[in-house]
Amino acid sequence: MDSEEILHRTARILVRRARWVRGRALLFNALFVGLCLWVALAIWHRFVPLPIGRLMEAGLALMGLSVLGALVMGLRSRADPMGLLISADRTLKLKERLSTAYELIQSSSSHPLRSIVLQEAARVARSVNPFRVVPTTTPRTLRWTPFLLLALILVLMVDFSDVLPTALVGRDERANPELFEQGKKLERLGKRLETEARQRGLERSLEAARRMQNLGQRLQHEKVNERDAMARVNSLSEYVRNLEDELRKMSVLEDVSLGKVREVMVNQANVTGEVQRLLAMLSRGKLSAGELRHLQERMQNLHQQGGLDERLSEALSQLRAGDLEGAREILENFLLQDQLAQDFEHLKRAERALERGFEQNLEMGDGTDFDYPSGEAGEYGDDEMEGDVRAGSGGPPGDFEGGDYLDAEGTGSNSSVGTGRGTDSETSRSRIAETNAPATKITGQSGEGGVRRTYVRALPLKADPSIPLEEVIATYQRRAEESLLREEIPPRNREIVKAYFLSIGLVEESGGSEGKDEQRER
Amino acid sequence: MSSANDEARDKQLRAQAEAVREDLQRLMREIEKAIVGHREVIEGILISLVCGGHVLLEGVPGLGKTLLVKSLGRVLNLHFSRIQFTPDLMPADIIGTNVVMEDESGRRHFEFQRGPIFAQIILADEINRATPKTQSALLEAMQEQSVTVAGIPHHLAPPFIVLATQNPIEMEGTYPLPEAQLDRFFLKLNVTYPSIQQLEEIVDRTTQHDHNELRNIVDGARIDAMKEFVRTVPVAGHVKNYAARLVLATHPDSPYAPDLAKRYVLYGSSPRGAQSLVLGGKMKALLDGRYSVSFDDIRSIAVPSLRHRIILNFEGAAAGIEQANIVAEVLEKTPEVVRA
Repeated sequence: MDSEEILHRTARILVRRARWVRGRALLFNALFVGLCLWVALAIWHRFVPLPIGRLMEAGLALMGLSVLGALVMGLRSRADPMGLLISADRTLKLKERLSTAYELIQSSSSHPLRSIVLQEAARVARSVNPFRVVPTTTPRTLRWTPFLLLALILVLMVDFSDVLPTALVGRDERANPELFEQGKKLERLGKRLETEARQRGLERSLEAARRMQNLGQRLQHEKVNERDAMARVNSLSEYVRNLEDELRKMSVLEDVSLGKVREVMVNQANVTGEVQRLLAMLSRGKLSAGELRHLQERMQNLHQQGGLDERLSEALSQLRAGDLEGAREILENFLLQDQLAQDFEHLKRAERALERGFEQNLEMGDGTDFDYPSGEAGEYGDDEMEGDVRAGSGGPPGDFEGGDYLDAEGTGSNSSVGTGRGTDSETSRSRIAETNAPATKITGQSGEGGVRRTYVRALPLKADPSIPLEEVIATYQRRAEESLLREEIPPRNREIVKAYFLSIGLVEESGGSEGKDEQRER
Repeated sequence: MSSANDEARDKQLRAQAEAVREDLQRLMREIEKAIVGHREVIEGILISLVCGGHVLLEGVPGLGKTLLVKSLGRVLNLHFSRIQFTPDLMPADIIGTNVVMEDESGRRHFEFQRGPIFAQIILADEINRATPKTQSALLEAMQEQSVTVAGIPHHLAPPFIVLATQNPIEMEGTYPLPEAQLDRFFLKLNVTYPSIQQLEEIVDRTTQHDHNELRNIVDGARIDAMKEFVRTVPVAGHVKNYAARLVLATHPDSPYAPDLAKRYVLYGSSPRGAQSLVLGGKMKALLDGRYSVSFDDIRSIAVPSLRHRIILNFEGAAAGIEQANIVAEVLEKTPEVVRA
């Protein structure tokens, strides 16, 4: 190998070594730059928050981009052999032998001492150690890496809002986009709930809907502790779900009560009408076999619909036995008892409404705040929701945390809507029993509390008859009573309410408690 | 065949380089027989001799400057001439003059009578004592190696070297050398006071019978050959660049200039300074047995090459700033390699 080749080889070795060292340094620097960018991103995150997952992804992406840039730069970089040989001369104190010889090689003009200079260079080139000429160095910037990592952890973990002034921390109105979204969603749900509650006249749900909207707006615009806020959001989400379930069930029940139950009522009236018609047929005296069979089928049908009790079963048995007179008598008794039961129920409900009004009047006194119904013991806190504890069978629904819906019941016998939490389930059951009508128990999960059981007096018949006004007026009266029970009645208006019931003839003015006793006896 | 020729030529070149180094070392050893110490001064004089430059020796009286030059004249087997500069010395006293001569037939004619400048080694002793007019008489001789009298040029025989001395302390009645003349000196060497051992040696040599006869080592032809060979030594581009930046750094308005130069220098080195650096570097490399000039070679010759070419401003002169310090500052602040 001649001197020139030795020199070239030395230059190549140095170039390779320099590129490797440069590439390594670039990589370290790229990682450092990526880390710096990550820290910058984390600081930015404090002002304009990102989901932590997205922040990590963005940081990794920045690091990746930096590394990619370093790789490109490393591939594009070209080490200068002359510079490296100069460096070798200086590092190894070769008195510029290598660089002078390399310059002579590169030069096109001949030089009288070229050969000797090259030989001298080749002689010393053998002792060139590339690791000494181009030492492996770690970029000095890397010494800041621990500090950057520490800064990254601090920025991500520590809440500076208590330490730094608000101006430095930033207006964290949208502290967390997730919270912001949750807040928007909550506000939207609240509006929807408000609309529904307004339509259904549910004061408590209306109040809850307003609180939801308020909290939703706060989540959107206020700086809140992320963890607490998320807990609130989760709790509230649960609350909303429960409320929605409740509303749905109410809706179902309302369908039952306002639609189907009305149908039940109508059908009940139809049962009465049907019984009356059957009675009319029986009153005609002797019936043909076809008429008798038709009569039996209609009674059978009525029995299968569940609209008849055992008295009608007995009447059917009598009819099948051919005892038309006995059947007629049973049906007449049935009609009479049914009429009496309805009248008795109306009177009982009016009496209860009046009693409750008086009781509340006594408990609350004149300074009572009528903005909230009685029994509201809790308030929606900022950080957590507390369920209201409402006592009384007339309270509106709305508690979903900590509430116990077991044995809860509705008070309306015909509307059959469980609109409150009863405190005396036995009494409620007895009231149901007082109606002396077949009841259907509907059991369902409602909120966190437990199982709600609601009693519906009867299932609707499939028939769809017209509704005479005189038959539904009682229902409207009951609904009015329910509304009155739900709403606060100012004490001074109690008398007006009482007068109202007196005006519709349910209670005699002079009767007072005696009248009630009479009605109870009836 | 070609390879054999190349090898033979390389061998010859190596022999020449070795001969140069050997001759210079022999010259030094011979001069050191007469001169105690001052090794750097002797080396500088020899470098200037081989490079074809002139030397300004500065030192207090009695340090052996004249003896050094006389010894050099003796070992070189060159025509030596000494000119003692005095205030009344006239240019004609140095160069020579036309005098009226009468031939055998009685006819009179002008004939040029050569002055002491017509020698190969000139000792211009206490050159700063002559008037600038007389000092300037040396200008043409030093640069062109010829003198012109009455319009007729007279060439000086090579090798021609002027070794001037000046006394730095007796400033009264002296005429500082003009810048143009200072720039013509290849090196300015300071002759320093000897150490105690050297002084004892000097005492021994000068108070006893001197049996050391100096021998002629080289002649003029050999010096010319060496001068030719030295110029073949290659200098890498970055080394030349370094020399050029050093020279530029002595200029106060240069971007390379250090603060000291910017503050105290009126004029920096001329391009002759760069020539001096590179040629001196080549000679240094050869003396070190190398064939390429290194940064160290340039640095080692920088102070004697540049210091007399730096003209201090009033502030620098008033502050007593040494030009050598400025050159040292330039060396310290100028990087060897500048990345493109």
